[in-house]
Amino acid sequence: MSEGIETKQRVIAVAGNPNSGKTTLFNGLSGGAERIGNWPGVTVEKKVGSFIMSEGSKCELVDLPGIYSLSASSEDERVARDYLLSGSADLVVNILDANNLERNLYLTVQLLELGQPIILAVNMMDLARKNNISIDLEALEKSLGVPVVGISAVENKDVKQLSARIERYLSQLESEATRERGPALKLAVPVRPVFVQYPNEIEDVVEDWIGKLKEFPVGLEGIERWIALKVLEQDPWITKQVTDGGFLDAREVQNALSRIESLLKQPADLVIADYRYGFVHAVVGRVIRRHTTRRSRTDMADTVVMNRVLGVPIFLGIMYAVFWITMHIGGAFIDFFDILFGGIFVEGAAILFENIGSPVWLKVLVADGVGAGIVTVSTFIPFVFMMFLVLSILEDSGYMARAAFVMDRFMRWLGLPGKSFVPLMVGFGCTVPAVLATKTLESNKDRIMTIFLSPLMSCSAKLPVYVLFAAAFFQRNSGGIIFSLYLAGIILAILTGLLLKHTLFPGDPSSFVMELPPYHSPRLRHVMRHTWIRLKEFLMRAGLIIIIAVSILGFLSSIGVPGGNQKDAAAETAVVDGVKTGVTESTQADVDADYSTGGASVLEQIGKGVSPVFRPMGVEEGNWPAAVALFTGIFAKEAIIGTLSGMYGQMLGEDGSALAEGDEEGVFRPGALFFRAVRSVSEALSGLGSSLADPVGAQAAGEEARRENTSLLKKGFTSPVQAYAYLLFVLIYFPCVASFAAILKESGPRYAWLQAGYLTLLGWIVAVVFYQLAEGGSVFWIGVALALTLGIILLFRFLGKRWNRAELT
Amino acid sequence: MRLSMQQSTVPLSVVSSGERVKVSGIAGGANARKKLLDLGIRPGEMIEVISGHKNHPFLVRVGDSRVMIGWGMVEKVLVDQN
Ligand SMILES: Nc1nc2c(ncn2[C@@H]2O[C@H](COP(=O)(O)OP(=O)(O)OP(=O)(O)O)[C@@H](O)[C@H]2O)c(=O)[nH]1
Ligand SMILES: [Mg+2]
Repeated sequence: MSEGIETKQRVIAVAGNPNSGKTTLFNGLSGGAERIGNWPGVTVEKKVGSFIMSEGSKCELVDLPGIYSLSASSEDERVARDYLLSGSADLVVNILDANNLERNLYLTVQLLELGQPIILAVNMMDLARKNNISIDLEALEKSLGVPVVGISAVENKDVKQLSARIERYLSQLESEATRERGPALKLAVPVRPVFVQYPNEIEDVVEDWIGKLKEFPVGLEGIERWIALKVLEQDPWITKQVTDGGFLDAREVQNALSRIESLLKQPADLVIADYRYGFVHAVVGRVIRRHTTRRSRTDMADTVVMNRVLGVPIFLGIMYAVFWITMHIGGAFIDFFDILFGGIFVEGAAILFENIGSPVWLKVLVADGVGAGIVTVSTFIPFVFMMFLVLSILEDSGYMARAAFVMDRFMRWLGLPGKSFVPLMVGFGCTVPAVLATKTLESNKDRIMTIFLSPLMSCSAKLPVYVLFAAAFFQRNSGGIIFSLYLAGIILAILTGLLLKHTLFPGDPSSFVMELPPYHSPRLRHVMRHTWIRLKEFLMRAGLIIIIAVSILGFLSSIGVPGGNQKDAAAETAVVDGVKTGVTESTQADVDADYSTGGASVLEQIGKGVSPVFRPMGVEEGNWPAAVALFTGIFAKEAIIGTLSGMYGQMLGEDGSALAEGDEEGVFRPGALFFRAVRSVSEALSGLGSSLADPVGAQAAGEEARRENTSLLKKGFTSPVQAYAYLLFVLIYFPCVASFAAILKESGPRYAWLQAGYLTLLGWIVAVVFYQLAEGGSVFWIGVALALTLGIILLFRFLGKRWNRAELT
Repeated sequence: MRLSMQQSTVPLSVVSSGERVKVSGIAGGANARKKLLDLGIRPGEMIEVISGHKNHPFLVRVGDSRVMIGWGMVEKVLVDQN
């Protein structure tokens, strides 16, 4: 806390090759919870955190996307390069993978040429030991003249050790800088040694250009030599800056390049890379002591997993397993949560409120509204937890990049590179990171196209909606029904891909090079932590959204319904009875009677106003809450559940029928409750063995949840076909606001709106065609849907001709 | 006629799985070159084709890493074949 310059917070950036463990270290140092995965390109944006060094001084810590060199060819690499060139960091922690030191040092050389203070963290020492690689860290330190620490970023004590070393180096740099120039803001390294001596033909040009580049405006100072080399490497971005700024003449650059090529018989960039690798090679020769290459387990696994014949079946098998585990193991716990939370928040709360003699409306709102909302969320915990768990295992295993390899041929048929497959897989978790993950793709066309498809991968927020409906309408088949929705999304993504390839985005996918990570066997602690972080996020979000939706909508729908409580109790009971006996007798008139008695609320009017649009897909006039739910679903897909359960629940709750169901004895007994909950799990799990052969026949929800949801949902949807058509629409239509914001940012307004409009229209078309074919039987509406399909195709063709393609490459 | 049948420069795309070859050059523009150089695929380096089939990406071992090269790019890597 001293004054002046010394109080400036130091900034430390983490840089290195993709998948070298930067984010693992970042999280370790800062206590952050950024995304980690075993494939190159997990981090695509700059992330800022802070960490406290031993003496209590705080540093800003910056995590960057991985890079192989300081020339960028994709969005994420650009972020890292721009940050490093901006000179914002006082110290760069360069992380290297000990198992691949030579390639990793290629970047280090370039960082050293930048003249930025760096410290090397040789990571994954644990794996290096296993692979019989021993590295002489001291020799490395001597060769390069910068501090070197060997770590395993997953080990706490190693992270501490590195942190201490960073601190010492910082204060050393600080005192050096102060000695030379007085108290300094920047910790620039005083002497800039030339690390690699290039052939004279190149050095002459560099020398000539250094003088001309003195004024070149970048954050970092004294990097003229580096810039001159970059121009010779034909880095398009730097070259443009340099020639546009008038520092060098474009012709001068061309002449130098062709002169070098004719003298050295190779293009300058190749020569420069060759010299850098030569330098690195010499260093590695001195540093790595023992290196026995043996056939690793990764190689053996790859011969099977990436086999030309077996690859695709194995991939399909893995995806099937992901789904099976989610539905079956997750499903086994659903009653547990339902009984437990239902007991506490609905039955318990209701009894509590009765006992303290609170007004009925409050009891209804808290117990049946918010309480029911919490219960609804809680019943999805097992599914979402399982989904996150298996996805985390998959992401940590190293398979993601292999899937890109296996699916490359297929993706190219859709006009996309195999690399696009990784963002799409991420989309099963959440669309937002999927959209961001497209930053690793090199061409804009591939990026926008991948973004177009990503919302069709059912995200974890849509899963609860499917579960709720499937449990109510498809009981025994609910697993199959949910699986079919995932499949429908994938099929529509394929069709969309083909449509885009033939209209908006013709041309070949860009060619790519991608490193395959080694397999890691999943580490329980790591995977659980990862899953927990995601689950927590999901629950906070879903819980909050559902509770807000329930409260607000419950409130809104009660406005203008003064006589709501004096509803005809007999009619109400009749409806509930009809539902209980499983007969869909609750006719249109009944449903209407339900929602329209007591005058129209604001919400009701809005709902009724828009519901005609959804009528062709089977949303009946009386089912206006379903239309309202689609609107709240734009904010977040979980809100659909909140809205429906809130609004239907309100209707039921007003005459106490919802309470009557769960609360048989009127006594709250936590012990019995818990026992019931636990028993449900063991019962469900005991049936698991026989279900392996049964693909997807899991029951999405057990008795309790089903009873409650059924009575709620069947008030609105009178047939399973209506429910399924509605789910199809939910799967496809307008992405949630968070996703849309990401799409807007990544594809720009033009493509973002086109995509959102396309998806909404597609959702309508698919739902209508399904409903009319299965139940409605209206040739007219099918005709309309087909005409709209044709309209979309023509529009896309038209736009494909109009919109400038140049910007896409 | 051809005396030195020993070595000829061919694109990587004709090399079959299991072969070890030496990179002799990279065709194509600076952008493609940059991507390959970044991953250590450079003239003089020995690479092993782990899996290579027409129209599929090639899987090659370069130094200590495994690299997947998209089909379009495979043809740009020139190698010496014996
Ligand atoms: N065994 C072992 N695994 C590690 C270590 N450090 C990181 N990992 C694993 O390596 C993988 C990559 O880690 P990340 O931290 O995501 O790597 P990154 O450098 O941030 O990767 P990008 O963001 O893609 O550039 C993950 O599966 C980590 O769990 C380590 O010291 N030992
Ligand atoms: Mg990262």
